[in-house]
Amino acid sequence: MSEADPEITLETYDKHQIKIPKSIATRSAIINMMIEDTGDVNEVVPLADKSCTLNIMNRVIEYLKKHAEFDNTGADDEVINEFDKEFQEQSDEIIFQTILAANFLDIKNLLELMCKKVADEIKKCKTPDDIRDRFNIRKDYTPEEVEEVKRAHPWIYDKNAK
Amino acid sequence: MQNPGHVHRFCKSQSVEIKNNFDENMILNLSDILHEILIYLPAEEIGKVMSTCRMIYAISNSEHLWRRLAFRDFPPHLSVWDMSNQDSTLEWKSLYKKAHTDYINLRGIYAIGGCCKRLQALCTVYRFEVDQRIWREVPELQHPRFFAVAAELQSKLYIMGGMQGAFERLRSSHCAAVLHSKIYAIGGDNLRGALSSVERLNTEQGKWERVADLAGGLDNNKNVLDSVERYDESIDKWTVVTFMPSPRVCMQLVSVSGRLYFAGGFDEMLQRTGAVESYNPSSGSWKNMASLNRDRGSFALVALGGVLHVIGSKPDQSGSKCSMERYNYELDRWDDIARQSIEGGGAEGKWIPGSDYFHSCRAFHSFML
Repeated sequence: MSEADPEITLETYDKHQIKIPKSIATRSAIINMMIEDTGDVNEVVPLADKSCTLNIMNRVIEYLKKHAEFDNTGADDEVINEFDKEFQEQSDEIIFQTILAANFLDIKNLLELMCKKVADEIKKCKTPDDIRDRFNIRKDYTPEEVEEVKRAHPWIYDKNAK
Repeated sequence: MQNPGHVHRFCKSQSVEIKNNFDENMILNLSDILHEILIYLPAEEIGKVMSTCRMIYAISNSEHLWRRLAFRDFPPHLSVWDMSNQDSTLEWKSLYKKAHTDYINLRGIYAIGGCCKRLQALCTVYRFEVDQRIWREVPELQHPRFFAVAAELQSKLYIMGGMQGAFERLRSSHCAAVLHSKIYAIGGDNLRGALSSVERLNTEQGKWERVADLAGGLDNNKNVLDSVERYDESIDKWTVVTFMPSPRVCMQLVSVSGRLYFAGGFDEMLQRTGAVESYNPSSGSWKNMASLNRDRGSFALVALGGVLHVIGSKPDQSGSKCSMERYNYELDRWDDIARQSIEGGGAEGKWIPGSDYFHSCRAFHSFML
């Protein structure tokens, strides 16, 4: 490994070690900060968030590497979109864990990508009941409260609100 | 840095399971993430999400979120709001609500002005209520006009130019467009002939400024042109980008999802046509679409929520009435839709990206029903 781009060792939440080039690792603002804090590229960087398991981190790193490649080669938007779209197609569990990890690691474009995916899933639901079913949210409203929420926000609910 | 030790898993086997024993940090984290998701949804969808459960309601009721939504959906209002919000007495959510309500009240297709049989200009304005499929009268114009053009900017409707009578006009049959929150008036004619000038309205100062003239020669010898020109604001220049498969004048043009749609107008023999074509600027390709049910010369083409509508035309010899057709993308055909017609036919309109129903539209060439 060249001196300009030394290898960084990350320790995942489930205690696995991953080696990646510094130029990739520093795409996470948090990892970048931790490396600068210690000032030593040989020190292991622990990822203390529960979302940062080996499985999820491998996916995050795949994303970072691919996007570093896109940036270096000046890839077409079409190519990038195709990769991003494929990257979004995951189980809910992986999507939510990736969102948590991207949030923790402060990787803005990955966070945005995955949040858009969830937003798209919400858009597919026609009613609040559909959303509860889709995301398994427990309804804790009483029917009166539902009415109150609707009364307070008629401008959102009634498309013909005047 | 966030406190990573307090992040709980909030999804378990494809589900969001919110634990009852979460602490403050976790809620902070959760609300951050929920905000990141909600920012990609339109207001109606956020309403649905808000009525799923109490905690999500509390999180999505945040001022911070509505401030971001206001910046996203109503940027033009913000300078005003920011000034009046210095004492922080205004809430972002209520500001958003006001802008949103204004917008909903305005949406519809507008038929503005026009003229009756004896070339007498009209002040009347009608709005097409999409749900009920009827035209309703709304407040009148101050000056009667026909052959005027309309544009929508920052939830307001602008009407400009046109004619009051056959010999009173500075600019008519021109075209209005909105680019980067500025209204442009392009081409058209005055009493002396065709204009190649383009003006831009500075809404803050209420003044018109001249910008680059059209590059391709405009039709002063009554030749029908087939060139399509594009204006690049950064270099203030028009360039010819393509040629229409069928040259025509007075056709109507709208853009929907990155495609330009050309409909109707008068062909090279100055006969009315019902031909419809679409142009994809990124690939430079043209596509023929189903022709209108009726040949239309002076009429309106508007995209209502992305769906093409044509409205009105001067009645031909058979005396067909002002009517409305809607394009069916699936079957590639035009369906007749309006139940009731109005006095005043053709129109021109604009569509707000990202929104469903808001249109300006002008009427000219009209007739008594």
